[in-house]
Amino acid sequence: MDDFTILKEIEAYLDGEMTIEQKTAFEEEIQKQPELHDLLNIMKISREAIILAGHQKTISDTHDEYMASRKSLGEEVAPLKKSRVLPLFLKGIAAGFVLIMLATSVLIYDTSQNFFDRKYLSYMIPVERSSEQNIENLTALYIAEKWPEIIDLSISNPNDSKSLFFVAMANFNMKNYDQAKDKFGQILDLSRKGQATSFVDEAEFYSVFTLIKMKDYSEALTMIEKINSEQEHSYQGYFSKWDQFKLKLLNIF
Amino acid sequence: MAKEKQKLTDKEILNGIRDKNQINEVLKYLYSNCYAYLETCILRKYGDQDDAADIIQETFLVFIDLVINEKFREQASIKSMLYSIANNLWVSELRKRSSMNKRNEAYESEKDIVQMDMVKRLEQFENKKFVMDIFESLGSSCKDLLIKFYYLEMSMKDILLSENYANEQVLRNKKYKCLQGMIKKIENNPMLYQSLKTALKNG
Repeated sequence: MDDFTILKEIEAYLDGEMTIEQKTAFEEEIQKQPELHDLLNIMKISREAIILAGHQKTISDTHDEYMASRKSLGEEVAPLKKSRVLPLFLKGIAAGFVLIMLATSVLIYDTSQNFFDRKYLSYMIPVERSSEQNIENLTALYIAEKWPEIIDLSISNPNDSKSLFFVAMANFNMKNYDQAKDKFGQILDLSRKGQATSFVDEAEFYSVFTLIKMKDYSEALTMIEKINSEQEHSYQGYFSKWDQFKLKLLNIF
Repeated sequence: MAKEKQKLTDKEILNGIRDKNQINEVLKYLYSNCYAYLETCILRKYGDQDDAADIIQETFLVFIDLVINEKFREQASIKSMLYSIANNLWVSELRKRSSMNKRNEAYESEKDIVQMDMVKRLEQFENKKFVMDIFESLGSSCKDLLIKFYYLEMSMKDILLSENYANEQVLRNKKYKCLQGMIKKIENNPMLYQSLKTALKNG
């Protein structure tokens, strides 16, 4: 067989264009010839890379278009802001005060309605699709979003931070925020005693959202400060100063 | 897709990415809805706007690769996934810079937000990027032909109409010649070849 014939055969195999007999024979050849197996893999990744190169070009074009529109929008919006806001400011302190109060009210309303949705990140399970059959029960229940079953699972080891975390997240998703806070708290207690090293950052991160749901903004802010103070924290910097300011406003009003 | 101004569901976005006719609109939607958010994440972690532009473009490429190869678990929202990819790419970039220049020691200890799973996926993507570089090193006629066939999914008949080849057989041979050239370049790069073999063996 010449090189082109081999490539044609590999393509037919990858594209599912072989008869069952041809496919079986080809797979037998792959078993016998490691070089053919390598070539098949190289061909597969080459085709994927070509497709990605096409996508890269599409992304690059979209990027340029987006940047151009953002630039032109920025140029249009900026003068409008100046021409409207500046004269208002010059009308006096009273007008400015009204404006600030209005802006604060809008900010408080917006924060109370949208802060959670804008900041919340779903927790991802670190499992490959291909290994789904082998994943443990608790993880499988989490993936299937069977929250009541997770909560009902008796935890054999009360010092297992992973189980505690999943139970806490299940309670969170069931809107049992008191229970979720309690379970996250247990992980943090274990951490303080040096008995938990995993899921500690996650427990702190999702505690923030639990506390926000419970409208305990003061404690949420304390937790955010702790997260941001630890340079090695997985979520360090996720909550900005502006986020904290908005939560402080909610706490005051 | 006539829903540019509307909010698309994650399902609609995923279907759009898998559909060549919709992917442009979906990308525009992702840019207008996620770019500023991802940019802020990079800026907050000591990056500048140019860094953000590079990382976000690569983030979308990794995400598309995961979706079209059925590796994206719909367990996570798309926004969370994009954040995870961007964050890992950026942390990895900071590490590269840090190892080249010890000024950025602060970044060395930074942990990945997401798990080993993401790290493994990005390592696999890194291999594809090397192969993409090899593709980019081919001549323009080969690149055009392979993009038309594999990315744009044009038939040989349609390609023949837009190219200057005698007939379909000549065109087919040209395609295989281009592929062969690409494969030879991979095989002639022992480090990449070994890395690919190892990565493919490990799934």
